[in-house]
Amino acid sequence: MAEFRNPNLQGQGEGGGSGGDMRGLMSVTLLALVVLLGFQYFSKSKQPATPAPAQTQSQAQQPAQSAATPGQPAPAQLVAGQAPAPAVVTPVVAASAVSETTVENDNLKIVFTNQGAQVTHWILKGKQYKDHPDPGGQQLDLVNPKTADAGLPLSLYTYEPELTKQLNSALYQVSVSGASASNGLLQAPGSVTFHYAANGLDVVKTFRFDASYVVTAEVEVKRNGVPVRALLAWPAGLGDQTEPIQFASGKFDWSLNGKDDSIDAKKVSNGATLDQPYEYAAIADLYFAAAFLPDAPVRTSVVTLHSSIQLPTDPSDPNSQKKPVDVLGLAVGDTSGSTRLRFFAGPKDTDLLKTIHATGPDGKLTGPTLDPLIQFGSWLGVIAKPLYLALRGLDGVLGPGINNWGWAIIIVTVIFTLVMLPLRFMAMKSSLKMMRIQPKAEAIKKRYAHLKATDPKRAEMNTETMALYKAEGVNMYGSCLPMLPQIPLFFAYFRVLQNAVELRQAHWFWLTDLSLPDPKYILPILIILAMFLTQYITPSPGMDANQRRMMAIMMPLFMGFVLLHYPSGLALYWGTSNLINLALQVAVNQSPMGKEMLAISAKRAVKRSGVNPKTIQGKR
Amino acid sequence: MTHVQSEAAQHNIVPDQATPPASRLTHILLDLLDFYRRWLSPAIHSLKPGGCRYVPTCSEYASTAIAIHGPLRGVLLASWRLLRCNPFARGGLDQVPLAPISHHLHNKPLP
Repeated sequence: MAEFRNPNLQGQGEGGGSGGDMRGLMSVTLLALVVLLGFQYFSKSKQPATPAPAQTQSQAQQPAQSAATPGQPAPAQLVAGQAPAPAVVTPVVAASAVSETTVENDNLKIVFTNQGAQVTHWILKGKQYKDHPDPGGQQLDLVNPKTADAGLPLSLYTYEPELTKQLNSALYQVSVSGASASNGLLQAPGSVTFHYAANGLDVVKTFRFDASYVVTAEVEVKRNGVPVRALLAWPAGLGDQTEPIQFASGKFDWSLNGKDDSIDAKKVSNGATLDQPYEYAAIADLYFAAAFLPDAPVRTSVVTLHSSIQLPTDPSDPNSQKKPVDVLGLAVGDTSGSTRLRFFAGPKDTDLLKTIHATGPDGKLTGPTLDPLIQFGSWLGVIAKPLYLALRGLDGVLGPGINNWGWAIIIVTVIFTLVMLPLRFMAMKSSLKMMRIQPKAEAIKKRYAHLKATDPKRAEMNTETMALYKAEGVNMYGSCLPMLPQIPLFFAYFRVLQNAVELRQAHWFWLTDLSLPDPKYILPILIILAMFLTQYITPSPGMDANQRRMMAIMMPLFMGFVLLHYPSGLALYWGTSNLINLALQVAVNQSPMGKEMLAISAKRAVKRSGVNPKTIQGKR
Repeated sequence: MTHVQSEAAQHNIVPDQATPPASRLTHILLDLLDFYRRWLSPAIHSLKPGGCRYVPTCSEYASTAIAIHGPLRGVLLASWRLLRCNPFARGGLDQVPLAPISHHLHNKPLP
């Protein structure tokens, strides 16, 4: 894998503001540059006198510009908008003032600044995408202000920090074309072109917009007529990431030769160049993603960016101890230096991502879709995906409604419990049979109790027990199933609730966001009560008082405590399933079978407390 | 904690003093199994009513195996049993194999 790191990258993005003491230094460098450029001009030397000192470590991988760089240093210190040095050949194309261009369609509102021709706001217009679940929430802006120091989206990345800085701070000339373009405002479809040229440098960035989330971009950076490899970047993070936990969910996703894969933020190295045929490369968190889809995958160059910012460990307390969090970024371009790609930044909505195809080998949009950005986990995905589809289907059937996702969770849970009912019933029956013969089994045990564990005669005890089971017709296999599938389902729900953007900020009465914990603690308390009651009324003759207490109190408390901190959608599922269990147990207790169980249970409780309270005879 | 200790003193699988003396490890393992049987097993079985597919149960099997074969072989036997206790197994009677007759070097006559 061709990869190298740019040791100077840390410098990028810093020193954006020119402080007072910087000015002296700058004027000196400017003077030096003017002299140098003047010398260059008069000597008319077009040939590279000496190869430029390599800016990067990899000579072999260095694109053409390295060899072709003339013996002059990049005119990086020139601030855009300033009077150009008299010795420049190319005509100057630059704006004189900072201006903003806003592009809008039904899905997006993008604000460009001509300073660096980059994006300051990437606002999702969909009603469901708010920055906060509360009523006062604003539309979500995918440009994260917390990570702005690392650069703005659709800025350029080059291997020369000085050049990068210049490209991303120059004042570009803006030209907007489209049917309804006026006064820095463009209603898609249309395009915006940014042009900057000075000191032999010529930069053109064109962005084309249609009604979708996908933006087409063309970037060309030339220095003295030679293309420079400049990559289009989404430098750092996504706008919904505000807390450490959201940054921790950051991922670098890609599709390479038709195979999709991803790695976690903390494993991504900073400034690693990957010249491989990526169909797409993206950074994503749980719900949103920024993806680049190159027009020519065979010539794709991807640079991963990994920075970090300090965030308070406790999101509710800004003064709590600060810890660094991993911030992911990405730059993608063409190895030839002239980049054409499509760019997507938006929600990880299945329906949406399925419509966005990468460019296939034939140059048409036949490549893989962005669908794999949604990940329900490798083996849990087997359960999580159908669960997600079921929930989504139900949500669709229920039609428009604010509480739909909550209802969908409840309905799926009820259906699941009903399907499991026969199995449960079978288990109860076999449990009752076991209870009936329990006294006989214990009698056998007692007869062998005096023997040591190492005594071979003890094996006879097992033979006798087995014979008893056979005689009474106790089913040995049918006992394992009923409650077991609930545990994978629990984790599957967990995955779905955490990964489906539709459930982000989905309401259900007092729950403002099913992917966040219950703000009013109603569900955890309900669960504790339901579990306690269920346990309390379930006949369990195998247990002594201590065990019963622990089962009746500790388990519900534990579950309630766990669910206090997990998505409330999960609590909704667990609560529903526990209420059903409670109702079921009440019904069973009324039935002849339940009554018999209760009777056995009561009899044994009396016997136990009367004769030998210390005997351990748990159900095993 | 004290409760667990009293349980340990009480459990009826007391290794023989005449046969190879049970190690400290054996005691610890047997205590752990007792603790499991008393406190954890009911919790698990409350999620899964019904009995076990094997006689003896896995925890009984493990106790016996460790008592007879010692910690190392005992734990290996118990692990193997746990692997066999799965939804595809038939279950039924499954005894702990008895200890092989030991042929220690010092028992053999010198050539």
